[in-house]
Amino acid sequence: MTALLEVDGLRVAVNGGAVVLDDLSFSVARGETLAIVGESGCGKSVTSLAIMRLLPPALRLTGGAIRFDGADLATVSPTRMRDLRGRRIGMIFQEPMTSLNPGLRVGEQIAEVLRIHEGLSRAAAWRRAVELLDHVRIPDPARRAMEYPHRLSGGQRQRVVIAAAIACRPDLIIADEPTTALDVTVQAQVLELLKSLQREIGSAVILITHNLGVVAQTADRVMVMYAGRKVEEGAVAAIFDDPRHPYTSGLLRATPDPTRPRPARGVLHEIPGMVPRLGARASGCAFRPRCARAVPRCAEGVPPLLATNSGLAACLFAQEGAAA
Amino acid sequence: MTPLLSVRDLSCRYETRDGPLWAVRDVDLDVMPGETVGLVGESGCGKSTLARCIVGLTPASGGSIRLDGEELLTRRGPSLAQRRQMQFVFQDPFASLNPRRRVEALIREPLDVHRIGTPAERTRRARELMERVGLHPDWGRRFPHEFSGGQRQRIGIARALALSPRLIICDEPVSALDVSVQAQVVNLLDALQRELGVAYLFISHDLALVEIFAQRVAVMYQGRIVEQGSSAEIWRNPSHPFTRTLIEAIPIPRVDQRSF
Amino acid sequence: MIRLPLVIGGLIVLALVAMAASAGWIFPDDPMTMVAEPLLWPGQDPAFPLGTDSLGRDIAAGIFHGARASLAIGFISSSAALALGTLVGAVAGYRGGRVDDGLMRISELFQAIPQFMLIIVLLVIFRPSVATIILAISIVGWPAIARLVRAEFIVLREREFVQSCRVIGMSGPAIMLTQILPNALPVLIVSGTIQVATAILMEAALSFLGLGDPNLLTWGGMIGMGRDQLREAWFVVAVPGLALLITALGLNLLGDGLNDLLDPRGRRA
Repeated sequence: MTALLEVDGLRVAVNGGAVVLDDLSFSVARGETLAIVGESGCGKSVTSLAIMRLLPPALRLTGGAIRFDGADLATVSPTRMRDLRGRRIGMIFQEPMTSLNPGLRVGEQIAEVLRIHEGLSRAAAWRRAVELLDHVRIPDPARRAMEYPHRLSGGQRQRVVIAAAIACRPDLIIADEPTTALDVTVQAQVLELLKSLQREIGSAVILITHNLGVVAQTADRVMVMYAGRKVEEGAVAAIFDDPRHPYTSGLLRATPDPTRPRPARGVLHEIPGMVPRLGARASGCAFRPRCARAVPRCAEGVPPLLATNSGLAACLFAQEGAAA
Repeated sequence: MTPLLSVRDLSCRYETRDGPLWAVRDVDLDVMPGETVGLVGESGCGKSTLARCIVGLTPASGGSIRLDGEELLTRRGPSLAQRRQMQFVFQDPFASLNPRRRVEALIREPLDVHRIGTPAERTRRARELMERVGLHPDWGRRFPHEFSGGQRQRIGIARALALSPRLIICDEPVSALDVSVQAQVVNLLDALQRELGVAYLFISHDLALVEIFAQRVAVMYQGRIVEQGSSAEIWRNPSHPFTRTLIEAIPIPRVDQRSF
Repeated sequence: MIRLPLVIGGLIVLALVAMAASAGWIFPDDPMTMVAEPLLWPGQDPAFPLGTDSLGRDIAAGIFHGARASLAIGFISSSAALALGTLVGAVAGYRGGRVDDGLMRISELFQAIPQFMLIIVLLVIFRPSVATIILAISIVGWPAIARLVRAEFIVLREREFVQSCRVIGMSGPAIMLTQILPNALPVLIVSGTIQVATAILMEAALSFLGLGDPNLLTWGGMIGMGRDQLREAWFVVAVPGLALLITALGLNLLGDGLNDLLDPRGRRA
């Protein structure tokens, strides 16, 4: 089976300057959930914006292909891209308050998507919008559809955004930190909703998050990014069980989890140092300055992605057993 | 042992268009010298308001807050001597540092206000503190925007430590930070406690983190503390339904514990 | 980033200051004395490049000495308005509550009366002189600045870095002076610059109406006196008018430029 989305050698750079995404390749199959994880500045959000061709003016796509169901999104016309966005690719952003128009009733915002992409009449689109609100489990949807966004709670707003994203039953949903602004209890509900809708529609999901717990709970496969590159990829169960890149294992151990043993010193396992600034990334393996396993050879060029039991890992020692 | 901080029947009310809103209601809370108490709850539960009432940033509507047996809720608010005993670390390491002041000045400021030592001694102390929290002392001439989020939070911690307080109230000190940096900052707080014996009231929305870091936990819900106890006990055996919901909702980074 | 307005505005203001400073030695004589035939056209006599007015006074000398008067009145009155406005606005914004209400009611009292009317009334009560003109312009200028500073203080008061100073026990005045004021400075500089332009224009309007200081040569006064010969010798009005226009434009460009230069950092940092 061919992939729904195939990103091949994607490069994004600051206009005439620092490289943000460097030779990034991955694919998403129909119906699967791929999580992209990493810390701030690793390029995970830029990846999603590049796929949707919504890069801010300061950033430019400088190479690579983004094949979506036969078309190369890197080169399609803006008109065609507009048609794909919303209809075949749905989007959910971190902050529902900023992705909703504060001056429009929420029902109107969902109906708008249907009128543009499905050519529904005003009345039919509104009826469908109310159905969708019901579908994302908003109580009393007919009345809620008349509300303005600021009258809803954060969780309900994100449900509205989800309703708009699934309105045209897209093949792919890109969710960029969809629950980061929400409370844990609401986060659990929203993730569960997203998961069940996905099963029902059969969409593929790219879930962008910094939270490994969210990844473990929702994704099939995971891609770990560091400093604009993919450092590890594979099935969630395998990677969480046996991470082969030191950054992945470091992240896993730094995440608070009361069911695991405490470190010998301190409270949490820490990764020393900090995420490099754009344009100040180390040569060779960018993680090298923070890595306990680093040897001089790590500086000699970007480590290749090696096949491991868990998937792929960009570490010279990936095939030599568990990462330290 | 007498508690270092003792909050009794504390209430805080806001007047809104729809009548009074109780942000904090009848809260009892103790912090012993040298211990860490975690205060957990969701957004809007009143945990930040409670913290702000303790340091006098928000006026309380009633009740009592005693620091070392002395009342803080007087008409004039906490005295300078009382302020010296308790400091505050803010959530947002970007907003909580004056963008126009150099780091050394920011760390010295508490010493300047309390007129502790000579100017030369204050500068020396600021450099020591920078080193203690893991910042290079030669970075003192830089401005806050030249630092990363984690480094700025270290600056905030150094500033809070300058007066050698016995209690530091940390309001979501790591929730704006990346996971790997969060671990560094929490470990720093832990090391400082071991070394200096400072007590923390650690406010967080992350029950997993609090369970690991705090000896005792208080769970707040709709302005009230609904459950209080040792963190291990609450994690294993939560008694209030809200605590149970909270624990169940935490996404555990392990695939064998999928909840849906 | 384009900083053309800043550069042009800055050059104009610099030129004005240079004119004011050099007036004394380029035109050492009193500009009020009659030196030549009346109504010489610009260029007619190379000794008087901008011509002479109806009383035979050198217009060029008037422009240079007028720059001195305009700038002095503009800067002094703006500084006074800025000082009072900042003080009132800072206290009102930081304290809030009843102090704020009281101070804002007072400032509204001044703003309720049309500014120019108020100045005229003030000048009719105290006889026009440089000092009373400066006083009158400052009195009408401070409330607008107070409101601006107050708004800025209300926003900055709630910022965490200010609260962090309250936690360490810093006093209110110290917080206002050392924490909030430096962060409100961009707004003050910008509004101060615009205020200078406003003050210069007001003084010109007063002189035009004959409410200026009779012992001082100003651009407004020159325009007022040239009014009668507007048909046969329009340059007598046009030259000081142009000087006024360029000055106001320069100060406004400078203000806008400073706004662009200072504001983003001050707010986003």
